[in-house]
Amino acid sequence: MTETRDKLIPGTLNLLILKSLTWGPLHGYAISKWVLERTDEVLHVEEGVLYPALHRLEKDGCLEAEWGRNDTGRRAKFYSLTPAGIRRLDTETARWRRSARAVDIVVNLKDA
Amino acid sequence: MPGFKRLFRRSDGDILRDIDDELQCHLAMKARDLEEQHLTEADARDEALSRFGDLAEIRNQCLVLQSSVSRRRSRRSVLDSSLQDLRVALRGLRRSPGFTAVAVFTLALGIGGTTAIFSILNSVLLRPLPYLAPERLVQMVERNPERAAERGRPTADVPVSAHNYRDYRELNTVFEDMGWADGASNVNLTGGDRPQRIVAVSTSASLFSTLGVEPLLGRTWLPSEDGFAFEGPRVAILSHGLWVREFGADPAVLGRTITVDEWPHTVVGIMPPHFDIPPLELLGALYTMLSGADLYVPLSYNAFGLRRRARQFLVIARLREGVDVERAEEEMNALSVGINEANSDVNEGWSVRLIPLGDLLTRSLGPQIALVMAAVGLVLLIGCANVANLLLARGAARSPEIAIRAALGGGRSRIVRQLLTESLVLATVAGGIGLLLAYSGTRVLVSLIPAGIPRADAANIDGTVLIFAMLVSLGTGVVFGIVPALKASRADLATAMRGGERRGMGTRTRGGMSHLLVTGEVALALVLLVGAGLLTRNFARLAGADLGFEPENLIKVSVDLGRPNAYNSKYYTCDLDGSRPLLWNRCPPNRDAMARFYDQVVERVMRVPGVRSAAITDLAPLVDVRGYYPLRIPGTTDPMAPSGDGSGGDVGESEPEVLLGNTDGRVVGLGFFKTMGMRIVSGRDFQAGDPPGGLPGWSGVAVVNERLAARAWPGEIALGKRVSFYGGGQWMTVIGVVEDGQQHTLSDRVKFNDEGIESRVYQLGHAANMDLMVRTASDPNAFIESIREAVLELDPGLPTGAIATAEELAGNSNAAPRFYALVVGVFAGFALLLTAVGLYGLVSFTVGRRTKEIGLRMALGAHQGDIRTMAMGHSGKSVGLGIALGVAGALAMADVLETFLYEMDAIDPLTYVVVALVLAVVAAGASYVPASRASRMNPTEALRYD
Repeated sequence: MTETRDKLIPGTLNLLILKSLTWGPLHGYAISKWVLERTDEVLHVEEGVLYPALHRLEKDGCLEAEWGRNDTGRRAKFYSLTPAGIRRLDTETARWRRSARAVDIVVNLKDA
Repeated sequence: MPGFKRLFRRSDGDILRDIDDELQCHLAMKARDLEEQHLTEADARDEALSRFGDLAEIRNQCLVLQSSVSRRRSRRSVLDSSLQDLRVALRGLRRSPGFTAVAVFTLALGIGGTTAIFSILNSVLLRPLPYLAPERLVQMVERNPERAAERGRPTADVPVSAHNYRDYRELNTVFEDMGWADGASNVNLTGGDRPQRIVAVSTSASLFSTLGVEPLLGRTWLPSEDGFAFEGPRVAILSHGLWVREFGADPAVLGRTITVDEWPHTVVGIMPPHFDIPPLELLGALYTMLSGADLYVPLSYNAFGLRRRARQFLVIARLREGVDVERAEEEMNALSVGINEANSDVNEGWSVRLIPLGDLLTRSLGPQIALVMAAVGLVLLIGCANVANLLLARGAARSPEIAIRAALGGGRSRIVRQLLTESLVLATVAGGIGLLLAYSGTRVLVSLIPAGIPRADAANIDGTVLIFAMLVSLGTGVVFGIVPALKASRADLATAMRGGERRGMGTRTRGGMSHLLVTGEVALALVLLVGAGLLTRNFARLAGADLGFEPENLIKVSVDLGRPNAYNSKYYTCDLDGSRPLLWNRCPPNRDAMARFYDQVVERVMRVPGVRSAAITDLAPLVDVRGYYPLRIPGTTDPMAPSGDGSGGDVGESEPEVLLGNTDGRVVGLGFFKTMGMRIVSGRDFQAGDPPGGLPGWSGVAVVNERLAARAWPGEIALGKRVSFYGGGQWMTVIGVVEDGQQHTLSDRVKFNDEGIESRVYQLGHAANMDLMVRTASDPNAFIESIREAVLELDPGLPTGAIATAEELAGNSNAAPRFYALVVGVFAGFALLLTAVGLYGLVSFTVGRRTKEIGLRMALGAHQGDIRTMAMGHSGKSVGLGIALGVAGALAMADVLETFLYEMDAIDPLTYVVVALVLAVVAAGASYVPASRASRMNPTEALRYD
């Protein structure tokens, strides 16, 4: 199972976090689970990068945090998108599309 | 500041707790999911932890990021809540327009007044003098305390001798440069349609460079023109004002020739606008004449032709960078040892003093401005107390609202901030209106301000004044707002909901605070009223004082023959053709010619229809200080031998004489006493054929006033006694005693603080510059033109100078005391009004709070009078205490006030009693109205009142 999981491509973490929140506020663990589930367990967000990334996005004003309770009643920090976060998601998405297309072109070249 | 920030920001501990909570939550959920994959609870926890990575490192990174989030958020939250406070405050103030109007008006009055006075203070004292590095400019004076004490002079400081100036200038190492100005003098500017009388100041070439001022056009003096102008071509520099006024600001005037006192002068320069020589100290007082000069000329004679003992130049020096006044003074006085030794005959006992130019103004005008500032400051304080009381009452009324907010979790500091915001909004609005008041108030004040306060007319609302007004507004906002806000925030929900604090615990303390504030108001108002009362009485006494002459229908016209020049040489003994160098002070007047001229003038003016009589005097009364010399009378002992300074007379012939001390000497013409309306008490008036007094070789006659007679020969008959100003046997015989006529302005009398200045010896004679006193049958202003023409008819080249009616002169003489009495009086009036408003408010509030109690008392049979007494008695105690405190305060201030009074004790019982009574009556009136309203209440309604 572990061998089917890939490391994240650099620069995609923010995109994934922001995208995960378009469905509504989530706490950190839910975000990592969302990414795992939506990528058919291909992409795995490590905690070591997830939380610093979340807090950096919060600092940049892309995310807003609010304390609430999770399903077991534990105190949990929920993140949601701010207008700045939505704008950031748009630019990150566009950038991803550009570079994915570019990589695709290269990959599709016939071997010499 | 860090402490303040912490109020609104989460601590690092709080942030860390949140991060730990978040991460723990993650681990727990992960472990729970792992458990579902059939791991044991412990294994699941371990697995979760190990997959997590370096927990400590992650925690650290998060902490750094969160700290900056928290910082930004706290800023935003303060801003948000402040905006919210502002909205709430504005809404609250709009809801109670009556309260808002009274509070704003009260504060605007105080802030406006304070700002207006400050704008004058700013212009006169705070703005730097308009010269390069003005802090390095000093005035240098020579001083001789021993000699001054001997002669009874009010100050030991005198101007500087030209020779000493030259020596000090050459030898010193502490000054960058030195320059001097001679006194201002009136000169004739001719060539226009009518001869002009303008003010000219002689300066040294180095004066302009010492001040660091460049001419707008042209140049200043060349060293060759400095003090030797008779030798070279005469040159002149125009002030900007004269250039614009007389020459239409035409730059082509440079190089043109203008005629000053009949001498052609070439215009070489024009000074920039607003250039003035700074006011300097002359004989212990501020000499402002230099500041109004129209024309600058080099000295018209060789300054070094004067004797070394002639100390007449006003010297300004610029300290070298890094040299302070003390060091410079030390060096100058070290130099003076050598200079004095070399000139021991005239320099014995003389030293040098340096006065920073900035200090000069502060020292001579500081007390006056401080007095007015203090008066208006008291009004502002009373206003603050009033508004604080209004806020206390408002706080009481709003206590349920505040208590609910506190109960709902608005912290105490949050509520205090909210209430303070309201105060600050009030103060800011009041500050804005106050600024408008200050704008017009400054104009009014400037138009009233007595002459001799330099730069007062330049007062305006500039940046400094704006900042001052802002600080005062914010300061007052905090001062009157903080106590009510703190008190209101302490509101207790239970008490508040039970019906405000009408019967609550807080009543006592809150009532106590209100009464304390009113006590303070009364005390401050009393201090101000006492000050106003004293100043008014002082002014009234002076205005009503017997001048000793009749000021009605009396006018003064200056007739000045001028210094010897080509035109007026007929009045002098020198033959002037303008080609030879000459020292004007070596050219004595032709006394016969002068006498003839003045006789003709008097005779011609007397022929003007409606003129009753006319006479000349060397100086009209209430204008300036002129002669003031030690008087000698024959005596048996001879403690002060004639100084033998060469002023004439054979010392050998002189009989023993004693110095009487300084005495005012006046030169008058025939008919002077009659024209002035002064009564001869004994003996006779001067008459035709009497010899003029005081001339070498003449044994003149003199008329003395009663004060001098009593001083010189107490209990004896003055007639036939002899007096002399010159000594050496030149006696004048007293032929008459005239009543005391006041000749000096009040400020001069205060300045010299010497009885001698009003004891007088009149002698017959004339000088180059005389004032013609004319008694008319009706309004003297109607005679100005015909008198002017009469003089011009006799000598068409002679302009008549300053004209003023004696009533104007008497008015000017009292201008300063009138101004201070008026300003302090107006502020005292405001203080009284505000105090009355405060008392009225307090009694209304107290009565309102006790409505039910009053109803009960009335139901139980209390009379209206009882209720009134009860309602008033409470505030009566505060007023009584306030009056007592105020009297104590005023007594403590007596010394300060005394300096503004003339021959009057600041501890004047009558003033105190009247002021206390007025205050008590006004206070009683202000509390009677609401008290009697309370006593007329319907008991049934009162009992139902909530």
